[in-house]
Amino acid sequence: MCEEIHNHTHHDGNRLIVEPQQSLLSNNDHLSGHIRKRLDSLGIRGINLMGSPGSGKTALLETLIDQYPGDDLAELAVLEGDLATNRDADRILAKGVKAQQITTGSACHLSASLVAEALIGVSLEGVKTLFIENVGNLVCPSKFALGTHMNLVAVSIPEGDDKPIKYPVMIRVADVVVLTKADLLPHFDFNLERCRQEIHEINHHAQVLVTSAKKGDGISELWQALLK
Amino acid sequence: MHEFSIVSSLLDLVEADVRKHEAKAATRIVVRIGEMSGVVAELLTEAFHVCKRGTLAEQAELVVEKQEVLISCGCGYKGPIKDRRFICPVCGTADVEATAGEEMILQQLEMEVE
Repeated sequence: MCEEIHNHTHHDGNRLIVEPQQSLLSNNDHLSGHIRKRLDSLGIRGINLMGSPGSGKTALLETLIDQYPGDDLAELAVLEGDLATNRDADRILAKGVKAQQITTGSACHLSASLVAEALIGVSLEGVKTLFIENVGNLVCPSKFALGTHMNLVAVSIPEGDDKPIKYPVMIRVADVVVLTKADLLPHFDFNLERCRQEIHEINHHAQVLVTSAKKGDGISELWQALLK
Repeated sequence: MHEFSIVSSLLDLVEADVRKHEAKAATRIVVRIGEMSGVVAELLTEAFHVCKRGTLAEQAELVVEKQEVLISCGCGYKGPIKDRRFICPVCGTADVEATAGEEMILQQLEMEVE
C-alpha cells in the first residue's frame, strides 16, 4: 500500500520515495547566483569566454585590452582558467591588466566554486568588466554557470564552419559568437554565410561577430556588444 | 568528461536528501537527461558507478530517462525538432522556445528507511 504523506513523498513499507525535480547542477547554480549578486553590487559586468583550445580566446582578450574604449585599464580584470600553466594570466598581466590564474588540474571546465575562490585573490575595486576565460573546451563549460552576465563563445576560422552545428549545446548558451582569426579566411574553405545561418538555426538570440585579433578587426563592434 | 562533476553534484543532492529524511540509504535514483543537455547518459552511468562507492548511494540503482528536445512556436506548433536545429518544422522560423530536452533533473529518489 502506498500512502501519500504530503506532496511528492510516498511511503511503501520501508521505502520512502521523493520527487525532488531539481537540477543536477543546482549547487553550482546556487553559488553562481551569489557571485552574480556580488558582481551586481559592485557594478561589474562579468563575461564568460568559452571556446576550444586554440580558438584564440587569450589573443582576443589581448586585443580587447588594446582597444578598450574606456579610460583606464584598471577597469578591467581577467580570471584565466587553465589546466596547468600560468601562461595565459602572464600574457594578460603583460598588458597591464590585473589577472588571476585558476589552474583546474584535470577539470575540463570552470565551476562557480573555482571562480568564487579565485575572486578572493583579486581586488575588484574600480573594476567595471570582469572577463573569465574558461578552460579550452567546446562541450563541458557550457552548463556550469559562473555568475557572469554574458556568454561569449569563440570559434576560429581554421576550426571549420561546421563547428557550431557539431557543438550546438555550447552555441545554445552563447549571447555572442565570435568567429576569430578572420585574417585566415582567404586560406580556408570556410563558408561564413552557412556558419552564420547554422548559428541562427541553433540559437536565434546569439549575435555573430567576425574578428581578427591579429589585424584588430571587429574588436570595436565586439566591445559595443559586450557593453550593451 | 564533465559527467564526473555532474555525478558528484548528483551524489551531493542525493546524500542531502537521504539525511534530510533520516533514511538509511538511497536505493533507486531516477534522473531525466535532455538529449541536448550536453551530458551523455552512458558516461553519466559509468561515472555514477565509479563515484557512488563510499556514499549513501553505494547500493543504489541509477535510472536515466532520456528526454527529446521539444519546442513551442508562435504559429501554434508544439513538438520535436529535426537535426538539432531549433527551427519550427511548420512555419520555418528560428524564433522558437525550447520547452524540453536541455535539462538534467533529479526526478525521483527512493530511499530505505527503518
